[in-house]
Amino acid sequence: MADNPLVATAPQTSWTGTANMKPMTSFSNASTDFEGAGLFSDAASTLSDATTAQGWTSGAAEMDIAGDAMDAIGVAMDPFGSLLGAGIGWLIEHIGFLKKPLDYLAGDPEEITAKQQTWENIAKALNDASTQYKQSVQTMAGSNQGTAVGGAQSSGGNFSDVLTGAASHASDAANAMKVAGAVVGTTRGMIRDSLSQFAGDAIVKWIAATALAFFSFGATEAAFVVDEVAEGASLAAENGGKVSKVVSLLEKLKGGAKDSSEALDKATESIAKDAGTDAAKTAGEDAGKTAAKDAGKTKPSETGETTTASSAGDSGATHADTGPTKPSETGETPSTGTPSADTGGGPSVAEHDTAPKDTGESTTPSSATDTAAPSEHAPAEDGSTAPKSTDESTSPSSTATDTSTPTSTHEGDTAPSEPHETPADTSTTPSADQPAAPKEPTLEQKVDQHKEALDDHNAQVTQHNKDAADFRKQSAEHNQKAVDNEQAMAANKHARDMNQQAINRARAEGKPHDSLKAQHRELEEQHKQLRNEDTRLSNEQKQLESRHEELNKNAADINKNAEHLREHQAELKKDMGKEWKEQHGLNSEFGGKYLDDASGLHKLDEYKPKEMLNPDNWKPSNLLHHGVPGVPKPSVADAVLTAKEAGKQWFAEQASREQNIAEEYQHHLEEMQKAGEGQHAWPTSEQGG
Amino acid sequence: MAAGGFQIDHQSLDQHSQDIEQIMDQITEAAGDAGSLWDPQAFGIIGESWAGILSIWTNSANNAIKTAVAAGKVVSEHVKTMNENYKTNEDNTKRSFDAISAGTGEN
Repeated sequence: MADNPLVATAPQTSWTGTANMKPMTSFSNASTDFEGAGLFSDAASTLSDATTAQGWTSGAAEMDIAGDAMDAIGVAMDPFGSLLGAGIGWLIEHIGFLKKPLDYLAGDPEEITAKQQTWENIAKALNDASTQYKQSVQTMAGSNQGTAVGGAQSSGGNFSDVLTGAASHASDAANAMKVAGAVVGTTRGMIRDSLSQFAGDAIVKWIAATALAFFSFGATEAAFVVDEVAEGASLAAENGGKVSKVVSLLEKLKGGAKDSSEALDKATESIAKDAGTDAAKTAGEDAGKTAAKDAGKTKPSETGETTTASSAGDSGATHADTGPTKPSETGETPSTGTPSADTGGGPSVAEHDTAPKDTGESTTPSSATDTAAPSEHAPAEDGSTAPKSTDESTSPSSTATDTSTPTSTHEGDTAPSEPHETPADTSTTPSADQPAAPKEPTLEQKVDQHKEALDDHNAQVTQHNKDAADFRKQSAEHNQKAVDNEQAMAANKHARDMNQQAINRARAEGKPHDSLKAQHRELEEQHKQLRNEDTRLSNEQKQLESRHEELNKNAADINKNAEHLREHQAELKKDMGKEWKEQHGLNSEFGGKYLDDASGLHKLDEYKPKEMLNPDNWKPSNLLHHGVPGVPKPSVADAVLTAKEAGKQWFAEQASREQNIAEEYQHHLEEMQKAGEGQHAWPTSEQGG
Repeated sequence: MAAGGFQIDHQSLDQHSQDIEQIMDQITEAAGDAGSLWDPQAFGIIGESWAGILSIWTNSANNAIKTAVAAGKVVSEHVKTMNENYKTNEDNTKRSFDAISAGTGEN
């Protein structure tokens, strides 16, 4: 504990010699140096409060001046008694064996100051951590790139806010300790001064009364007793002002506690919310799992095929105007939809499959997972909005943007609301006769339904990706055939032209040209076949275009479903945040319930400082019936619960206790046996001799 | 690096994760020490009667700190997980491209 730089310790102030005597260096520690010295201490306290702005704003200086006036009256009436009292008070504060009992009775403000300092250190550490965290996240974002890092940066911002909120509470605790130190200091001073002044005064008067007793026949002794009783009453009245100071401090403490409590409520809500939007884990898992999975899946053969389709599309464009079957159009169809056309090359296919799951969409829904992460709920922990589901759920939006393909059977599944509504409702239907009373599914059921919906969605995405790959392959083959056919038609046209020219020349020269005619017929036949093929390719292109539109439509549906799932996930995240807050926040068993229902020690409204300080309430009968004045009594139910818990604990440990006794007994037996073997239990006459 | 791609400094992520854990541990320890209200030497027997009021602040601060510490540990774990996943991803991607360049067609 001592190694922790945040923990402050109280200085040793009791006097064990001259080492502790220090010259007064400033007004700020004047009250410490003159601690216990009665009117001198009060004057020093006034000086200390008056020289600080806070002393005036808090009203401490005014109270001190009022107290000093009372002191001055006391000094004027009884200078020797006051001086003696000041001396006694100073000794109490600076002699260890006198100080310790007072510490245990009235407390030690310096110990509380150490606590206050520790809380201030914690607040500073939290604020520093918040600032450093922001910088650290910025540094991380500077040296790293990626969507997951963006998610981590976002969560870092939230975490930084959480730290700042906690720092403000630590600061509040430090202020509370400060006020507590003042209360303890005032109470302590009141007790010490009462004792010392009363004793000093009594000593002087007793000396005078005793000296005059012979001449007054003991009347001065009687007067002394009467006077001391009156002095006691006067002292009590003088202390009344100081009591009011303590009361005002306690009232202030109480009022501040309410503010702090309300602030904590807000902070808890904020913390729950911020913790829910933490995206680092999911971002990391999404990026890692998806990318790793997809990287593993990406086979060179697939890469090659898709690249071919892309190339075909591009090459087709060069033949755009050459024939009725326009390869350019055929090529454009897949190329516009195929991601490889944009990115080009084999590796881009891997990027296409992987990248969407690495993009921002994966981090957004997965933040719902993080809401669940701090939660103790099973569905949250087992990945109700698990990264796997999350990342896959997001893939369609990217994939669909490119090209996608679920079959008609999947289209029905893409209806957004279906997966969430069906299972729970059917299971809760009591009978066919009675109308099923709509039962709101629990959060866990909702999460399970959401997981099922995500699984369905992911299955669609997988099918879509497969269909898209098939489509790209089909398009590539079509493009290649179209290009080949176009080239063949061009070659055929050229051959026919050459043949026609040769026939014309032969006719002009009157030469026989039967072979040329035969060649002409053969070329015409080939031309006819090529045209038929061209027509077939045109029809095929139309089918491909239709298929492309169908894929785009399905992609839009999947995107819509993905959007719906994201919204649903956000709702679940919100619900989880609420439940988490209920479990861990002020209203939880460990927070609000404890504050509201436990021993009552923390029920602010029931604290009554005035009653607490009223001496009448400290009568034994009052204490027996009402407990500590001003402090709410624990309920009988609490006492019974505590007793039950203790009983349970006792019985739970009984077996262990019996085991220990048995072992101990056995151990003793063995020891005795050893002792019996080695020597006699009692000295024999030989040993004794 | 293309948009949507990534580039990771694993060392900085590791350090980041450790920094969070260290700060959170120190704060937890100090809060436990300063939050103790049963301390007659500090509050005195008289002061203990009302020191319970302070639990409003100390409990509040302790709760807030516990939550912050829990969040810090989660964030730390997440950063660690992210780092590990990026490493795994890089290894797998590397294997995949090695396989492509080797022309085997399989990983």
